[in-house]
Amino acid sequence: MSSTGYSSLQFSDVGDAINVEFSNFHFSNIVKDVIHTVTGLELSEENISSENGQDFACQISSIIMLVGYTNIMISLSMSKQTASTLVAFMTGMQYTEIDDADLHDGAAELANMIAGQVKARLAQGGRHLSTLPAFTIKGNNHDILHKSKISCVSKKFRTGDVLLLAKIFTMRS
Amino acid sequence: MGKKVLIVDDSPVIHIMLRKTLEKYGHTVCGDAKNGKEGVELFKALSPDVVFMDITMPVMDGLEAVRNIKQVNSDAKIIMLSAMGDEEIMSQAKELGVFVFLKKPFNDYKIISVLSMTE
Repeated sequence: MSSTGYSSLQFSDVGDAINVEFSNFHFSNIVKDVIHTVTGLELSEENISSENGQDFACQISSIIMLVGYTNIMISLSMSKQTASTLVAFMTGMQYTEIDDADLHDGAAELANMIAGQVKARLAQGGRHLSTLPAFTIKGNNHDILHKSKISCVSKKFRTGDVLLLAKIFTMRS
Repeated sequence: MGKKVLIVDDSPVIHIMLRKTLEKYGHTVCGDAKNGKEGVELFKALSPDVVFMDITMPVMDGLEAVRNIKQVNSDAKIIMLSAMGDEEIMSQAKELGVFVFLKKPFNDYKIISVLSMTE
């Protein structure tokens, strides 16, 4: 089990949720690998200081769900500045060329790619899930929260001025 | 020699990412479609050498678009884009004559590698 970068774990039924090792190790590596592949940026994982895992102001969150033997929701939250940086690195666009639609689409695509990797990894263990379309939430200083009986792992990543909060929630079907 | 490429994907960011790489390596993006229906129409109008086709799109999805394109030209070279690693969809695509897949996330090397597989 990773010793850094996750908030308190809450499991109502570990047997029906994706396990701790997956949430802490594989999910973390998947996020870093996806971001690195499409942007070239190397993310480092950081400890999360607040109880809900959100200790910076988010302006854009992309969310995607996988459903099947269990239900998983993945969220990526970031500032507009981080989204601009990620989209600029993904596309080669200048910051001045990037509009809000590009930011929302880029954030959704990143969530889409991460979900695909999670799905593929779980499928290797014989666990098959379907993916729902990703969507994006925008708004200054918003939080993605969960009810108490849902297991949630939060991961914070940083490189330079890029700061990203990734969460994976698992719920029983 | 550079190829003439049609990109069919509902994500504008994916279009830009692919275009950036393709043009960097001497290929030409002759058309951009945001769904399968537009993709089929542009395929008929532009006769591209290769099509990059996403799977999940509104109006007409990638598999249906491939089916339509193959009716126009059974030798059409199509690269399926997927973030999902869905074996069943890949299986259906193979039955339609698609044998090259590019899984997201991708980088320059992966894009150019799969493009060379269509030769």
